[in-house]
Amino acid sequence: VCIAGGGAAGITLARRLASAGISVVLLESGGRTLEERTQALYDGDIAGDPYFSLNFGRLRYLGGTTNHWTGWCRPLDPQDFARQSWVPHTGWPIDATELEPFYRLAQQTCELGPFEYSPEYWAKITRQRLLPVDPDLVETAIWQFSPPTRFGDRYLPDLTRLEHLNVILHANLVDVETTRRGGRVERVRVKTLEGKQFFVRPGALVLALGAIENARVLLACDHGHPGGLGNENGVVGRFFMEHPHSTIGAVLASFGEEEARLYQDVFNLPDRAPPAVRAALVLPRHVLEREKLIGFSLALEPNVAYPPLGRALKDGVQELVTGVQRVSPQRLYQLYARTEQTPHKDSRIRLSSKRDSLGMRRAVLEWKVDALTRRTLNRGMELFSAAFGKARLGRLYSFCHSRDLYRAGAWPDIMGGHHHMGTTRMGDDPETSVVDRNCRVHSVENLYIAGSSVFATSGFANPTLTIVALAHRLADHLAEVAP
Amino acid sequence: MNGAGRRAFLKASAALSALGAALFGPALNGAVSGSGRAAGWIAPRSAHAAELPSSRTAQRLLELVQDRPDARLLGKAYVWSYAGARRRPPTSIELVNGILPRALRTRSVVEDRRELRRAVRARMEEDFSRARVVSVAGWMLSETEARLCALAWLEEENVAPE
Repeated sequence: VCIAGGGAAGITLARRLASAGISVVLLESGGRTLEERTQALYDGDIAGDPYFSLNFGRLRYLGGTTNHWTGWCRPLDPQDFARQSWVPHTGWPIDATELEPFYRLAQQTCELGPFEYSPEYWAKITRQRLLPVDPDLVETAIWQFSPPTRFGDRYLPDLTRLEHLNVILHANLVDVETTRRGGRVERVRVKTLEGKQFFVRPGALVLALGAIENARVLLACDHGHPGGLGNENGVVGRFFMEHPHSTIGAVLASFGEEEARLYQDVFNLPDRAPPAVRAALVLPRHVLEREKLIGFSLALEPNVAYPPLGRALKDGVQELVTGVQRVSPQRLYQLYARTEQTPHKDSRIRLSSKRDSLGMRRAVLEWKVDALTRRTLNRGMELFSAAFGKARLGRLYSFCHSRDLYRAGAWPDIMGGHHHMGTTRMGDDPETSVVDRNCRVHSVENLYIAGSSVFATSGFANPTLTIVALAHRLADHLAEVAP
Repeated sequence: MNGAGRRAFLKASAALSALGAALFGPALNGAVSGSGRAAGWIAPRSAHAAELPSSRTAQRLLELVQDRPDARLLGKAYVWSYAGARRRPPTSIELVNGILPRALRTRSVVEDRRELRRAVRARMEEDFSRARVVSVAGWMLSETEARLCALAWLEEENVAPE
């Protein structure tokens, strides 16, 4: 098996397969540390909504983006896999129960605690309180924190020790050659920045390059495959999803630091390492269904610069509230929103006419945050406000406060979280997806994709744990079908 | 609504209509248009306002708001927003009716401050339970709170729409 990409997915897969006695070649574009020339291979253009430079956020050396990962981990919710009638293009061909055993393995790989995300469980373990919000409006969700695991460093001993594993650094996959009819990968062309070139003839090829590069490579392999490899139906590169992040406001809270410790920072258990945990508030699934919204989490950020509120206005709200409802504002938190993004065909990766130093066409990102995502931010803010008001936890202040801006959902500073998903989405129907339920490209019998590019929906959970779980699952599948 | 309640309501409505006529009369309009102030709102004084039954209830309601200058700022923002959405501003009686539960609306005056507080609190909690929240100058308030602020602005600044 040839695996292109030595990040969280590629390293997980390589370790598992090689441990099972399967011969593996792992191609990594970078070396052991960041090198400017290699990193520059990520350069590309932004053509849609504002986004970070494509060279920023991703890291192109052994361990990949885990080299600066902050470690947020949470599985997708079971409902994230289901079709949601009010959101087009939702639904995975697998469900959460199918992924659960692999989530348990991923917990170990990411050096987390037990596969347990119940807020009540962690409240008990940490001896902290949960905010008493009405579950008909809002509920608490838990994230666990990886140390974080730097996959390149943490698993280097395995990568060098495993007998059946051959890791080749500074090796860039530049072309995938297939049989004449295109149904099978024959060989992979690999180049170094110094101009050396060689070929690998794999029994199976796995692209584990990240959601932008997986699409870029497939689109670039267009000789004999108009539109790109595996792109007979024009789906490759489409449905690019992020988790829109935005500092959307503040809360004048009636609770102090002690009552919200689980929410306001990563909570480390002094005598138990790992894990560390943190809570955020989220819209419950039944509320999403009722309101026709998508996933939305809200984190409380303490010790932040005072938001642009006049003191008089702040006092005005305090007095208004205390005069009627007996709420004693104690503290101001900034509110940080992370939402799901609706799968949208026009949010996509395509190729530029510009080429990188290896001669490959560069990527162009057209990220589009759609109306439902913006409506979720608007209505979500109202629902969180209602939950805070009802529980007498305080009042929220929205940074999208002009009526016209609010109606347009023009939230300031919506950016991504460096979570790239969806560009080779999983599905049973080749017309609307790129890979099948086993992460195999529909039209190429020995070409597989690992990583978040296969996500059919994004949920609001950070993607790394699911990336690693899917890699474990793919390892099981490849071990079964390997020649 | 019982007969006495209906009579009280009609009486209050008639009184407010009279107030409205006083506020929106041609002389005032002319004064505003000649004042050079921005169009939209004027601030005439109404000597009659404190004598009206609904205004009395409004004053009792406003006593629940401890810091009224800042509530008025929010109230102004809410009224502007409301006017923008509906092409006309709310009247005081609409605001009072929006704040009070049905049982209290039919009384000519509600004097008991504790009763009012309980009623307003209940309305706020009902708003929050049903996620009836509005953005007022950035603050996400229950509709009842926003109406209280608007009432503070309308009643205490004695403003009325042009």
